[in-house]
Amino acid sequence: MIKPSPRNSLSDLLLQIALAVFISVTANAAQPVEDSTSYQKQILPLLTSYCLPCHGPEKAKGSLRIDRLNPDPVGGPDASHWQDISDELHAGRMPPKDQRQPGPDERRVLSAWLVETMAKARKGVAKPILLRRLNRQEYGNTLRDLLGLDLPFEQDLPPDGLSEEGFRNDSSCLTVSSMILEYYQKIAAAALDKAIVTSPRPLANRVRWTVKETEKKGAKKDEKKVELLPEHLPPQDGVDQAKFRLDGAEIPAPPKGVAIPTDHFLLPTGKLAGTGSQRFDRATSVQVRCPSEGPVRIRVSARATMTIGGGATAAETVSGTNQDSPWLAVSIGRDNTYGPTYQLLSQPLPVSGLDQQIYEFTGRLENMPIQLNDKLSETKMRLQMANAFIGPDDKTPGPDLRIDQIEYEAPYYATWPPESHRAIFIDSPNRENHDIYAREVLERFMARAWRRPPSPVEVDRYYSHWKRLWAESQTLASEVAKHPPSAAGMKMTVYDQIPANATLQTLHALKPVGETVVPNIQTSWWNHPVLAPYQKKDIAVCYSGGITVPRKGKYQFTIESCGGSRLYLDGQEIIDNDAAAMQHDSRKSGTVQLSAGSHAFALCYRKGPTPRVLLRQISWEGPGIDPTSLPNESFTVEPGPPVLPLSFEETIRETLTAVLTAPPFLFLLEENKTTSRDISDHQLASRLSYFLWNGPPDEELLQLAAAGKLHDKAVMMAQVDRLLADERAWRFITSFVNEWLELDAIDSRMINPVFLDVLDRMREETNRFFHEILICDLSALNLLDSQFAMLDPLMARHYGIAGVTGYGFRRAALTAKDHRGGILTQASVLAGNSTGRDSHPVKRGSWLLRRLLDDPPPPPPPVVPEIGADDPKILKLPWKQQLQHHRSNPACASCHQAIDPWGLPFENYDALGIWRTKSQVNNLPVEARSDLPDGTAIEGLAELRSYLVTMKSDRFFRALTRKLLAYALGRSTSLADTEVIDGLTATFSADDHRLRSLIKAIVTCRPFHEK
Amino acid sequence: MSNSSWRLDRRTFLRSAGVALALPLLDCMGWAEEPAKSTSRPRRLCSIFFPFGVCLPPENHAEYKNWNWFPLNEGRDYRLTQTLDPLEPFRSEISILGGLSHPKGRSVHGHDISPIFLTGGDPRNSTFSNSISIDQQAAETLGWQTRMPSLALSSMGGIGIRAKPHTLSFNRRGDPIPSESSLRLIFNRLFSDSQGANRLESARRLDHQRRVVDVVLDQAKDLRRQLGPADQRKIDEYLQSVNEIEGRLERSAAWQDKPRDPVSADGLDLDAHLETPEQYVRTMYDLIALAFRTDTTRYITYMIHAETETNLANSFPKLVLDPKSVGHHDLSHIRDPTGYVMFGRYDRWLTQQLAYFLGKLRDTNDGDGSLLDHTMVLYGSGCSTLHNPNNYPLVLAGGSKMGLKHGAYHRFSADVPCANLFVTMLDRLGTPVGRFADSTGGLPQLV
Repeated sequence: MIKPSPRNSLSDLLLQIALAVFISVTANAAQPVEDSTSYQKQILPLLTSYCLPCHGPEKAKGSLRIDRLNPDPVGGPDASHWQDISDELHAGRMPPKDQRQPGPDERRVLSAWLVETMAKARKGVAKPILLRRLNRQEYGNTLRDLLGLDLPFEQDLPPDGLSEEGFRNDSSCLTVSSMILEYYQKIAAAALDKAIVTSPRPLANRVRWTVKETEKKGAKKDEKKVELLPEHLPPQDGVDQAKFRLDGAEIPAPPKGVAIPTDHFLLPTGKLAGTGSQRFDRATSVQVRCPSEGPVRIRVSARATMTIGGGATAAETVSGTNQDSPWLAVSIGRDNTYGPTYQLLSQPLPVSGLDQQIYEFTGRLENMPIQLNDKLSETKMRLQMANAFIGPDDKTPGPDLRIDQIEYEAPYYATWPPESHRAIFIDSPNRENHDIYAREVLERFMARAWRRPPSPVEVDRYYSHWKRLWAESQTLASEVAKHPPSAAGMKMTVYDQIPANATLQTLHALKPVGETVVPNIQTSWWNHPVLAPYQKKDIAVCYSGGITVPRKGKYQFTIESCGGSRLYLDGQEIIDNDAAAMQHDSRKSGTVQLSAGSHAFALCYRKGPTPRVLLRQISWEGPGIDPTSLPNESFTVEPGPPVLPLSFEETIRETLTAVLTAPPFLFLLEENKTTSRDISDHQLASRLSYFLWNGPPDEELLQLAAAGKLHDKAVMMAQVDRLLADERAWRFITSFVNEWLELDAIDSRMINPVFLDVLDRMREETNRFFHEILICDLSALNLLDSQFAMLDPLMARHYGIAGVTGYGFRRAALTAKDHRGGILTQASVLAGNSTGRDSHPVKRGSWLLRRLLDDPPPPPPPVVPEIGADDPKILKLPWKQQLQHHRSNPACASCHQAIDPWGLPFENYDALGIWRTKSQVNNLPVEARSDLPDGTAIEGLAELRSYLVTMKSDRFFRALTRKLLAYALGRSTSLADTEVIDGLTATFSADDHRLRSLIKAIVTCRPFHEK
Repeated sequence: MSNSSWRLDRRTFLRSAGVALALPLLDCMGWAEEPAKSTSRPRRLCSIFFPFGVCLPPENHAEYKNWNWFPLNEGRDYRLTQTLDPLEPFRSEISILGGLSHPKGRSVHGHDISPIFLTGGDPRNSTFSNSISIDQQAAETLGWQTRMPSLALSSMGGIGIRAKPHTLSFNRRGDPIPSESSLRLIFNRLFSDSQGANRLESARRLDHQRRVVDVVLDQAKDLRRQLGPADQRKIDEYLQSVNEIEGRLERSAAWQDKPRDPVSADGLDLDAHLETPEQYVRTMYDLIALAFRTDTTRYITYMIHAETETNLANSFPKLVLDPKSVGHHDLSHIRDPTGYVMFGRYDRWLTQQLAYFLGKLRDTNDGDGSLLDHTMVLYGSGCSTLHNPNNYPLVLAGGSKMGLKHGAYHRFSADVPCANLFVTMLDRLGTPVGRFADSTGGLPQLV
């Protein structure tokens, strides 16, 4: 139980502070301390004798060197250090009891100076919000919203720096380098390449599988085989023979008396697979060839059933709630050496009706784990349908799901050109007039991309860039038109007496014995007029000319030959099928990125052991081309124009790349024509959206800004509610919560991969929990301790909490025996602050101080001696004793006695946050008793939680306020923000600690409207 | 044929395609010239990293004498165990280094060292800040002399995540430099001149990039005029970056028309992939040797595998030792008495590949000696064993003609930071630095 210790109660502390203030006032009146000379004369000598021995050039404990601090709290950067010193001195913690103490007069002088300095600092001018570039996440969200493409644009960007506050949106940490700029340029070009289409609508592959029941060979009497039969829908081009495979167990024979459905495919609910994320044991999958990129749509006709666990009938199983409906999950993946890897295409859907219904899933193949290597023709995906219902344990069966039909389409475009293209090439009466239309397109795009209307000068700048590209392209077009097209076909050159390992270079050195023009590559010399005479000789044949590539993109060529063959494009060797093919038939592929236009082409072949065949096959595939033999019409005897003129769309695309590399796109907050610190309505729109959506403002915000209405408080409040209700608010929550609570720490723990499924969900639990409190207007006190948790069935199983089945997160009531409530008990926090194999009280204690109470312990010294480094026997002791031993080292004690007591109460939770009473590491009972620094003795996390709620909640609310303000402003706070933070905390408290009120107070506070 | 003129007036053609800009520039650009031929040979550096530490059985364990990664005696009379035994033929050309580590890395998890392996940066979570890696440090000074200033290679490609990157190379700001992993792409990037349409297309791309640079420079300069001094500093950072890009684009344009020496891909298994580890790793080493021989670049890093379990390269032990074996990471957690043997055998496999590489360098002539004499090879891991970020297992090989003295197993005490090794290496590379990261001097034992 919580017992404030008599030694050092809160009232004692308050008394000390009051005294200090009193002293300061009197001291102030007596001997005013004003300028830096008085600092030099009066203060520095005191600091030198009492503080510098430990915090000076000799020792610098806690990395603090007081002699290096700037005494000017406003002009210098060290105000917060002075605040700490002031706190320590007034609380009587420093100088430590065992060190020389200042006399009463000396103490008075020092205290007066500190109090005054702090008062000055608080009156100082708050730091301005500096212009900054978008961080990784913001950049990705901005491009996704702007282009309407759900692609991971930011994945190749280097990680951003973390600010002092622990956030990634602080100007000082968001530096710009030439490398990151090059990335921006590359990403913008690739993104626009996907958004803007310059080709006719690509043919889609469509396949439909229908569930059929067939006779099973050698089956028992009642047993039937159920399988999926593929049927290729038009257009059929290139659709691979879809293979069917049942991942789960055979469908068991139905018990007697149950009608056998003849046209269903039954998916019992599965037990969870051991490793890998998104794997379901009881699932069915089909394999199909797919493009390497583009949108995909899967439609499944399915229904819930009246059965449970693949057999037994249950009357009222399906009520249509999360809890007891089957869930249809569609995942896409590939086979690899460990077995298949899958990823959900989009969120699973509950299947509640007993009648057939169509469920639709869409996504982009770029986001799916489909590509094993660069070989295009091997881009096959495995499409998996699973019943994602998760029961309370592996044994209890859940509701069954029946699938009747599956339909696959890729690339899937609802319209052509796609929405992303039409959003750039807007409707206009001037469409036919390139000059006027280009200007309209640019201006519209710039306004959206830059989140403000561009000035006429700016539009001119990009317009003239376009104009030049367009003029050049037209010149080029007329140049191309002057040259008659080269004749179709290719040159065939025959060489005799070939040295081993002939390459193109060595062949050219030989004297050809024959040369002619042929329409295509000869695959046989049977009856060939030129080649037939050489049938018995060792010869080589070289085909050369131009090959016209219709569209730019990745192409793959495949040669199957008996006899050595090599393929060159534009002078680069693409395929070397030489050595192997001289022995036996060999098939090899090579991939190359090609621009649209004519490319120099050369294929060399030398005769192998088979007399009549030259090449078995040469085929290609690429954007919009399924594997097929090279068509005659792609060859010209001489290479054609090497560069094709750019189309209108392409010149616009090139220009937009520059728009997306310019500062107004990459940076937040820009020019202010006036000297005032007020920001414009457009800047306010961006501030709001980057705060609450982690992304760009939408049309409505921009229109309100354009109309000058956004500064209106009522309008802004309505916008906050609208923004928070939008699904994009989830991006704010994940970003703020993950950074505030350091949830990404889980990634750097070596955690048994068996728990991968759960790891993914740990962070989500904490995010959902915050989301629930925010959206449902619950008190933020719930963060410290709550009567509910946000759980999905997997997390519930992880915690051993019953009654959460089905799929997805929802609110679950907690009782005391669940040992849960609030973020302190959440696995994301417990695992993130563990070693990965065991709990870690120091990490957990330090986390609590840093993140929740805003009382960061000093950083560890540069070389930390490992616990047990001197005596391995220590490691066999329980944590508590290990830490006691650690604290016996005076170098460690001063910091650890402030940290460890906060971490020990967590001991009942293991490395993964599972409740325990015995340590798995040494099999000893765990001890979660702790004496907090104020003397309160507590036992376990439940008591720590109630201690925090009763004793520390004010500190917590202020800490949360300060962190959220720092996040909203994108800068760290300073003492000059004290008043603002106090005001915000008061508003927050006055409205029952609702996060929404805090957010509204933040967006209306002064700093949010200033530079 | 009627219109072979496509080949002839390439220049005219380019001009009308708007690419003309790239060509005349060549004449006035200093770096397009052959670097002044000096009598001394190029000095090269290849740094190789493998994850998860090495097998270090306790001294009283039966397998200690067989599979301890470090040799049995110190000094010149050291005795190799089976692990490094494949390096016996190179005894006079290698030094084995024990006891070194980066002080700032000693308090983090042993699998989080790879980002600072070549930088000596600060990997601690709360204060993470990385800095330049030795290859980039050298390339900054002398990289302009070759077609590619430096090259980052890995078996995974890209940059990976912060604590477990897929690259060993970091620029001065500590940003990871993406690595290449596809053998054929590496070969083409290093050695083949693209011709015809692709070449013109890349010239056109280059030209467009330069023009984009021009436009955004204008935009940024305009913007700068409207900002306060603090914001101006941010824009200056941007302007400086754009200028750097401009310089790089011009350098690319200059190299573009300089033909390469033809290099044949014969004997290179460019189709090897991660499921054929030996072929893959050896071909990577072949490419590195070839890049050095042709003086295409002088500074290469190769990360054999990242410190993650999720990549295919983690299963190399399964593929090369025994399908029933476990992944490399699991192998490093010795769980039964046979564990030391399996772990040691995989360490040996890695050593065999290194020996192959060193042999390749030694068998290639280079001026007054072999390629190995003019190439420094640093090989090692950022973890001794298990999760212990101290006592990196390191081999420094080659560079005898660059002034390195070999033949001994040196042990260093904990007060010698690993960066001291880098100071000596950079010095021998001809790109001396007074200090590097947290160095306190050099390693005089090696020179």
